[in-house]
Amino acid sequence: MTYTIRKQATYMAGKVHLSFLALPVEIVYRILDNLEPKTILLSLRNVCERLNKITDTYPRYQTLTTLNLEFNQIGPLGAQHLTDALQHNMTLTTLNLVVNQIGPLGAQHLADALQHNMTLITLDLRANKIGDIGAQHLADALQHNTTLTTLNLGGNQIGALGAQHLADALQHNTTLTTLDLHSNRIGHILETRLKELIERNNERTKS
Amino acid sequence: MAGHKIKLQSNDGDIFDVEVEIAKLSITIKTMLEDLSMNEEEIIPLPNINSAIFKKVIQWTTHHKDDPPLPPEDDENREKNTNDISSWDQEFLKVDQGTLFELILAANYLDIKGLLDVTCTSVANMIKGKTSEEIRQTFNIKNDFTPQEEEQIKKENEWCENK
Repeated sequence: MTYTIRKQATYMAGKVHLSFLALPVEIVYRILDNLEPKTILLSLRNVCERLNKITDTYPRYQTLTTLNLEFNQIGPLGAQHLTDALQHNMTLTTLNLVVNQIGPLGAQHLADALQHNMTLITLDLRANKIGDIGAQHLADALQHNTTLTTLNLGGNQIGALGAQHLADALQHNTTLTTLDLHSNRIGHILETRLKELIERNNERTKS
Repeated sequence: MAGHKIKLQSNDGDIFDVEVEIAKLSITIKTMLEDLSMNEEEIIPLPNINSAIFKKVIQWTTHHKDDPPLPPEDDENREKNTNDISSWDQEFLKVDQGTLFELILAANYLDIKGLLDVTCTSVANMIKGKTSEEIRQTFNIKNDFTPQEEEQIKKENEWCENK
């Protein structure tokens, strides 16, 4: 009789679902071992507090230095998730977002992250339609950022206005040594001016 | 030695006769048998595993008993190269989420690496390609960000969507 009751109790207990969040951290790490950094950053972040804490402490995430997200249709919203992740990540030095439809809004989110991020050295934003407004946001961030050395903004529909903001920012920024603006429409005078400013940073770095 | 059996007891009292070679796929049981030199007639208790889950574990280990041993864990490169699951395992893992998670815990406790790998891969495949909201729905996770954090995320999302 006792045996039957015990069986019943276990059966009932079995009904109470063991949930994903109840798994020990080490097990969740094992599950994350099967996922690409992209999925961890764009899907698992912002699900709940516990998953954010777990990803923050996940060794592969903590030691991630290069993230290649070329052609991923990340869009402005994805850029926002990345921004959130970048603010917690202390190791990422290279971020490749070539062709991702980030747009001016996505550029703004990234700019927010760049203001605080102290590790990112290379940011490739080629072909993201960020336009003059996106360039302005990034320019604002460059005034505060002291670690980024390479920024590629090729093919982003940036005109003279955006280029002017970048030139203004470079008056204050002394760390950016490579700025690629190919396939934009910024005009000859500004192009020359920007080249001079970048060259000045290069000279400073050398000396 | 083939066919030689030992007795294992689940936490709800059922006793299972399991072939030694199959039971030893569990490193935990193997260690108990070898290091503690337990008597063959002795019943080995498994306090963390219920009968339903242990039956599944035996089913898996029986099917996989002749698998070549897995390469040792490499902490340097934990990233997996493949997320493929064999069709037998896929069929085996057609269970509710609670059972899947219990299987993971059992594989972890019993130290059966192959089973732990395949169950973790299965959960990872449930995560792939989903948005944060879809993941909440899949695993019945409550959004527990503070109202301030939530407001912040919502506000920014609306702005993106209305654009």
